[in-house]
Amino acid sequence: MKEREFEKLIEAHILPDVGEMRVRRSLLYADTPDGLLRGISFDTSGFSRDLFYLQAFVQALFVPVDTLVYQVGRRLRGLFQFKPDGTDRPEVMATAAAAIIAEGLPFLDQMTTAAEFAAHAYEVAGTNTDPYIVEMVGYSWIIGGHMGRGKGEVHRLLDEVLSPSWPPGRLIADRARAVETALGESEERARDLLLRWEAETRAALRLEPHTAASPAE
Amino acid sequence: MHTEFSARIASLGRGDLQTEVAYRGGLVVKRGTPGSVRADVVEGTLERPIAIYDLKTGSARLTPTRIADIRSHLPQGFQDIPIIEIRAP
Repeated sequence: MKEREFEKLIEAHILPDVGEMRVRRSLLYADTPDGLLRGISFDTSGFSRDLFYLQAFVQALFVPVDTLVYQVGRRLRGLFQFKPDGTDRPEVMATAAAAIIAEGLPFLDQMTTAAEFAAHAYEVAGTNTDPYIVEMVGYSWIIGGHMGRGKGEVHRLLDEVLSPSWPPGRLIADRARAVETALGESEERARDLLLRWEAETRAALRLEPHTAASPAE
Repeated sequence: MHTEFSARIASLGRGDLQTEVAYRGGLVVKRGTPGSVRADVVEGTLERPIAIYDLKTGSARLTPTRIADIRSHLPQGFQDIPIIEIRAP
């Protein structure tokens, strides 16, 4: 299914039941003032255009990337499939809404602030050694005002977690060193750097700057 | 065939098997993300996969190039997990 079609279906069948969330194409989301993207993505299968998955995830936008990242996420149970003629779309979307309410929103509600994200991400992901998750957690502590914890995670990322033989790690290391340097100058410099990266991620994902969402938007 | 395959995997009710997972540069990303590779089935968790299964039909084969491509995108520390071809009957 095309993303624009999903957008219309989500607006009609899901949005009224999920409180203050927004829709952008196939993404149902709420962002937070401190830079978290909390989303449910409707992902069409590559096997069949009538089949889709629901992926709940929380992403720290101040780690600069150009894509949705499901590292701290959960795929909702169930296989959602439309009939080829589309006649059962309301029923399938109702099933999707039920799954989102029962499983997706409780998942997202574990992490509503950067500090909550930092506190829960390792447990949710089941690992504290994935470099990208460690990076998100470290910066989340900083954004959340817990500088000591943030510094500790950034140091751990650079000294213990990142493997020099893993090519994608170089970019993560460069960012972590930039944060480390900024922290050495002042906490404000570090926060400014992370806010700049958040703006870059929002631009790449075409997310507007955070404002309080309302169902009418 | 592939849709039935997904349904069968889902019907197993195993939380450690996920179909159609996309990776890029160590990240778990949305399927269809440019530059990503799609794993047909991931065993384990998405961040800590223990095996990947690639569904092939007809004369298609899992090639060393494809295996290397998948491995290059997996999370750090999981480059040596088995990548196994499975064939549709």
